[in-house]
Amino acid sequence: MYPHERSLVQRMEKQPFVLLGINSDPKPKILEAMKREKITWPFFWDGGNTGGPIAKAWNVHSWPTTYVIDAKGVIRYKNVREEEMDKAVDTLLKEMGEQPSAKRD
Amino acid sequence: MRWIHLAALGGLLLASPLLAQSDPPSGGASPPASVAPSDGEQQFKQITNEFDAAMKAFMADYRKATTDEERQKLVDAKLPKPESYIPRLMPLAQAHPNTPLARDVYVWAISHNAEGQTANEAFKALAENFATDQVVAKQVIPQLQWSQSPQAETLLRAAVEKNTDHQQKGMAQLTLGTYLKNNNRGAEAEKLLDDVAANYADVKQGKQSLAEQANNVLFEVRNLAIGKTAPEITGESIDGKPMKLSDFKGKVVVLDFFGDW
Repeated sequence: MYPHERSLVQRMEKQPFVLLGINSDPKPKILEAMKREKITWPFFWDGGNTGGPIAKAWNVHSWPTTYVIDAKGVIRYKNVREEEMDKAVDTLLKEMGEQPSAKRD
Repeated sequence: MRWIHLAALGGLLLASPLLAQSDPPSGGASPPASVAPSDGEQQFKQITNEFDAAMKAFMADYRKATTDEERQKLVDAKLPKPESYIPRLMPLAQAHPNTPLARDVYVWAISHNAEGQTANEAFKALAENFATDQVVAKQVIPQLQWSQSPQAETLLRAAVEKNTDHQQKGMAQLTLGTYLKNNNRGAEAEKLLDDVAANYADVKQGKQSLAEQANNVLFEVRNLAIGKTAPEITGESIDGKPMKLSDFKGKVVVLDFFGDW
């Protein structure tokens, strides 16, 4: 959810990390949400509905669906949220020899 | 953790209109209108109507609520809890084993709470006596792909083994394959889904055939499992700029399929 995502993105600002969305909203709706929720991270706009080409290719039927991918492009975690997602990202960054930033909020 | 809560509530709200349509007994053997319903059937109706009325009253108030706090209070105070109705229903099933009434009780119990000991009991009874039942095929089987319950798996396996109806068997096998995929048993999932992909192109379910749906899940098993290299994604940003997943190689990526709802 947005507050967690914002804090994750902020905490990982200097790390080799990206939160990459795939959005299924109609354009006006996501444009409005970007302002309201301060969505600064990149995302694919998947055609304006849940039947978009990316969601279809990845067989996504429930939202949110998440995948955590390591620096080599290998899928390492699926459907982790909030704290679990933080831990997954920290683990993968550690594998790369990065020092995860200390601040956790 | 508000989203979990709202998601669960959403499920209930969605479930109630579905359940409001009462189901004819399976096999089209609807009793003639002149036959009075048994006491058990009447009690079943009465108890489930009570639940529906409580849900309706809750919904009316919920819609009127204007703040999250009010909504939360309403949920705590007025949202009817299936757990207080199911223990009244289960004895009806036990008193009339192997009848459409028993089936209706089990289906109602599972549809309202698919976890815990009572649900397990209901799954077990359905697996034993109603694995090929049409109502079970329509209302219970498709829900089970997300389950983590071994008893749900028992019902799915019974439905695959015992069904002679081509459509119902295919649907059960697709669901069992998806269930196994979701529970990290990819190898068996693949076997079952390959068979659906090969033999059920003729059965439509929604827009797609069972074979097509099996192929979608197979793609997930083969390419989107933990340990696989993520397939490339190409698309556009909201500004229409081309973007690829591989643009971010060398970084840890959290892929987040999301919507603002």
